[in-house]
Amino acid sequence: MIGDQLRRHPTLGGALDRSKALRFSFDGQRYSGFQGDTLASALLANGVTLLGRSFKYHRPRGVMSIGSEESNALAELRTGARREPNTRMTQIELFQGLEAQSQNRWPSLNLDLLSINGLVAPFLAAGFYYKTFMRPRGFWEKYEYFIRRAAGLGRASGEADPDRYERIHRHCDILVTGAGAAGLAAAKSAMQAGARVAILDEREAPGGWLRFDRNLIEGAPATVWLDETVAALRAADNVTFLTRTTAFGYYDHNLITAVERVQDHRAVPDPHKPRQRIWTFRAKQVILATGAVEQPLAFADNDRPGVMLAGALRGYLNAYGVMAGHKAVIFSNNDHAYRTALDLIDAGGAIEAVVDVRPSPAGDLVRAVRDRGVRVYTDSIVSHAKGGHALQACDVTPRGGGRPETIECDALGMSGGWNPAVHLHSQTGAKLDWRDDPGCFVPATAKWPCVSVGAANGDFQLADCLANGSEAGAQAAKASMGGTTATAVPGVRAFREERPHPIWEVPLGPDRRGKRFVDFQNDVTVEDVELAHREGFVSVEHLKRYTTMGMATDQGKTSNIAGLAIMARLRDKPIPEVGTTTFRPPFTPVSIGAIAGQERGQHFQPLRRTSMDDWHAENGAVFQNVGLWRRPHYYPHAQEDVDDASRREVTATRGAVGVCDVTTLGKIDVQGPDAAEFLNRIYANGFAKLPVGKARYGLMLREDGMVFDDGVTSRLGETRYLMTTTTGNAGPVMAKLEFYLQTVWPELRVRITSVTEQWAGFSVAGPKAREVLQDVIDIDISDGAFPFMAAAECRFAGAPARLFRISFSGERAYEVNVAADHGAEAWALTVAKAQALGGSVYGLESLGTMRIEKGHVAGTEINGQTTADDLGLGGMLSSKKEFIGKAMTGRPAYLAPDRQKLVGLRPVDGATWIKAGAQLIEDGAAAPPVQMLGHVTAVAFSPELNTPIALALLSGGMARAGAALEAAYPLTGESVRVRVVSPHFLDPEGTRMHG
Amino acid sequence: MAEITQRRSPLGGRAEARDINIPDGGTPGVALQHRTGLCITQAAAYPGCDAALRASLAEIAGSEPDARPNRSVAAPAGRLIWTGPAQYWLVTEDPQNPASDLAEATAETAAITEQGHGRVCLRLSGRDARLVLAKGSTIDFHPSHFAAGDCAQTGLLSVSCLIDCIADEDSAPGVGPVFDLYSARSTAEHFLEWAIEAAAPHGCRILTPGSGIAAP
Repeated sequence: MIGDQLRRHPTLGGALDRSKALRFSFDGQRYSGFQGDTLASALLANGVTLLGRSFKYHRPRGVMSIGSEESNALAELRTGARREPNTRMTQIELFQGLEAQSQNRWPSLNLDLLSINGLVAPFLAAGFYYKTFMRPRGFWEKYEYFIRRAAGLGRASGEADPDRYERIHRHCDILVTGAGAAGLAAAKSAMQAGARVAILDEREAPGGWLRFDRNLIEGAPATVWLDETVAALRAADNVTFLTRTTAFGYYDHNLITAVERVQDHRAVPDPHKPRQRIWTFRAKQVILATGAVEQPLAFADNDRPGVMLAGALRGYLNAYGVMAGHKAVIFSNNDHAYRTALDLIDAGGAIEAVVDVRPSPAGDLVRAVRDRGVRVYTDSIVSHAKGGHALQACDVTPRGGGRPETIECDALGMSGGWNPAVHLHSQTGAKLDWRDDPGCFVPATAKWPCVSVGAANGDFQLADCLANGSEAGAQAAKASMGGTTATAVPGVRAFREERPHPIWEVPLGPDRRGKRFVDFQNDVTVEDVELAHREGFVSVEHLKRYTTMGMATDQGKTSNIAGLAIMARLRDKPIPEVGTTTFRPPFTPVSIGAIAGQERGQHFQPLRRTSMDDWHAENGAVFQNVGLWRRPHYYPHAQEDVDDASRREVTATRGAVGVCDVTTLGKIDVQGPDAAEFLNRIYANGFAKLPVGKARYGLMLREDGMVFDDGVTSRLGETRYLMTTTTGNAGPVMAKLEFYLQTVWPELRVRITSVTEQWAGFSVAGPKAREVLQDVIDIDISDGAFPFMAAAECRFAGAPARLFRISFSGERAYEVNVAADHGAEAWALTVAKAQALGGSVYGLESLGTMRIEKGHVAGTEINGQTTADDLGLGGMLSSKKEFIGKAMTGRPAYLAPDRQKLVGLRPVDGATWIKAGAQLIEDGAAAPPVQMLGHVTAVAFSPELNTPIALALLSGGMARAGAALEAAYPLTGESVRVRVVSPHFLDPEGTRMHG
Repeated sequence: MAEITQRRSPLGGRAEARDINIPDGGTPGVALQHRTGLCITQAAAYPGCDAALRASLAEIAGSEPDARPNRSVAAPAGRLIWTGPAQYWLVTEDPQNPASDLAEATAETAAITEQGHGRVCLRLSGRDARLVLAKGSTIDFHPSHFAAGDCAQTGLLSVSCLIDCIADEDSAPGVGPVFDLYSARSTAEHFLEWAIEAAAPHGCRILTPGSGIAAP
């Protein structure tokens, strides 16, 4: 083990539990830390300052911040399938055995050969690849491979994510995002008013900067108030308190999404719990207490490891007991950063200098620092940070010019002031206002019932945060529930702070050397912004896209303001006139797994199973998904493929008997005194006089006259019918019937109900079908008593059932519906009887083959473009009644003689398969363009006819009977000579099904 | 000829009793029970016949259904649940199937349709039951918004579901809220797997399939 936490302060570090030492590794080196550490704080405590390499130039980088705005210290976490790239070390809670690797370096972090990019930096300025790699034309694909490897972030594991995720919804009166001083004060007053409150914080421990700063509330350390307030909120029944939870998206009507890192702080997640959980909040009132982000200063080589935000420097000290440097320099444009100097001195550290750009700062904190004997360079800048893998010194130069003074230091805390974290507010489309003092964007009028408080609203004093937060909580409670609640605001000493001096870029020193980074993560410098301006990309949106500023995983939290301020200077306009780019979700990166939640793998979509599904699986069925249903495609024996199995199944069915699961067909119960009238209007053929106990094939048209669906409807009683639909159209038909009943014919005394789920269905087809069923059905099913198209309610081996003498296969056939809880047994019993008679079960392939042999139309022919006449069903349209679609059936285009109509096809050679989807043309040798005459809709091999057959929609239809055409399939270059025949290949008289 | 008399649930043995993620000596946050042998009789009144239907239901079930949307009632015969305008479910347990009696009583006024084989019912109860529901549905399950006698037809994850709150923290203190979740038979397996996965983080006890109020 190396490191040994030499930089750990002996007593400071309120976030740590020093009784729990943890071991972890970074780039294979083992270190120790404490419970409560982040990966960043633990590495800093161990004196590790080189944590990563930059995106483009591969420059050495250390940690810059203490929060989710981190742009430098990114790591790959964990190994194997759980490897996760681009995690921010500042947010990774240390756990026992944590393994992290630096990224974007080769071969190692210390010796990264790609840092040569820094030497050729002049060629790699913004937009370099647009200019450099465009020639020779077509070579981009070759360059791209290397560019992507050289300029990259971490690597995804490439394996399936082994963890589980979930989503959850929560309604509340008030949602508070951020549990710092303002957020806690808001939640507390809302809680006391009795509102349903939810409060979120992205860290493991709430408190925000109350934990990073030293403050007194009511004369006691702020953590006392913090602990009491958190305890009260957690104990309240009306409060949901979530930590490790980041609100990342704010959408219309106060819908806010947040990700909770439920188990990211564990080496291996508990398998029963989600790794992460997405919360969707619907809140009557939203209080944004998201705090503010300290901004860096763009001076030369401001990215040296050891340079960090001034607030982070003291935050690591106060919360984690980390003395990030023994000799520190503070470079600031504001009073607030002087706190860092005070805290470091009080902890025993040395402040070499405070460099302040202002000519004569004299606030309370400035005076306190001076009183400690620290040298304050006023009206000065840090013009250059020096060092390689670690900071060694910095040059301090008077702003008016002059010789730089080099100060040795190992830590440099910079502060360009604070900018409110306005991201969530901005995501709603609400505007921002520029506030000159202290020089930041603050939320303008909110779009939804929402208020920003505390630092998120530009109020940086603790006293303001507590007072405004408390008031906002009470007001939100009043708005959502009515009534008022008095709130008590704890007393806090306010410091007199002077106005910061806005400075976004720092002039280069006399040596004119060094890179002044604006966007650290995407390696965008002041010079890149200037280049964009010179080349005409002056709008902030163009600036962003041309330089990629603000487009990295940190989304420009520390760069956007500086970038647009520099552009404002270049354009000689005030900052608010230049504007801002639009913030969009997510605030911080969200894993795809969390967004998918439980809807992955087998739960990606629900799978519908029939009552007989277990039987199919146990008997080797090969399944095919039809919509959400899974249905047996075929039941192979031994080495059979689909063609072999189907041929055997069809032969057994036509020769003896076959049994097929048809549960998935839509079934709609239609009841009422006006049911006959209703059906008569729905169907194109007559239903008014269908007798009880009879079934009829029905054809439904769309309002435009095209065929919509077909099926058989049976009259089970005087006022009761059972309609069946195709599997795919079960939902749409039901919806259409409901629509007509509720809005067009509400006077009809009819009620409809889907009973698809209530009844299991199977067909028994073949010459021995009656033999199979006659012993188990409790009614007489002789041909005399139960002829073709008969229907009846009955009992199947004692179970409630319905029997229909209908046929899709063209054989003598019965369709049995059994109450679904009895379906599996009824099926097994029937199959056993069928097999004893030499029969078989059959699947969709055989079902399709037999319907093609019979010329029955299905989904590929009822395709939304075919009329009843096109399908050979024109004779069914009733001339004696009105029905849906009738008015349109006479449109001239529907009657054109060259319409594509249903025909049968056989290969001229009697042997070659015809491709489904093939185009029908006159002459296979003709040069394109060739007139398309139609296309093949369905193909099969007919065991009965011993030849491939097909159905097709062909211009002119049966007027071309006997013609030889070419069925061309240009996709594979195949073509078959086919002859046009009747679509009724088998038993056109229907002798078999009539029995 | 053997008779088929036993009803076979679509969940087969998948919902057998077991504990999931309950630490030794700990109590489950939720309990799940597959309710078997239910008769679900849907009664839908023809236009203008709602009052007559409710009177018939009162006669057969022992209580009149609540005509307000998304309300349910505990009746002597079972549960009366509003499922649409002038449409109710009467949920009873085998062998008392009221469908034919109801059909006779409402011949002129309503359509009676059996749905008991077409639905699977999971009873979800316990202190964290509301959290489990919130993982699948967007509606507000807070006790002030969804209490005993409230019902909703909504989506749970990706299947549609009728949720009937049959007891809440006030009416069944110590038990926690109790919900009956009715979903389509064909997606029963998917539904059960979802429910178990959503319940597991809270500690889930799966009770022996059957009937009666399940409590952790």
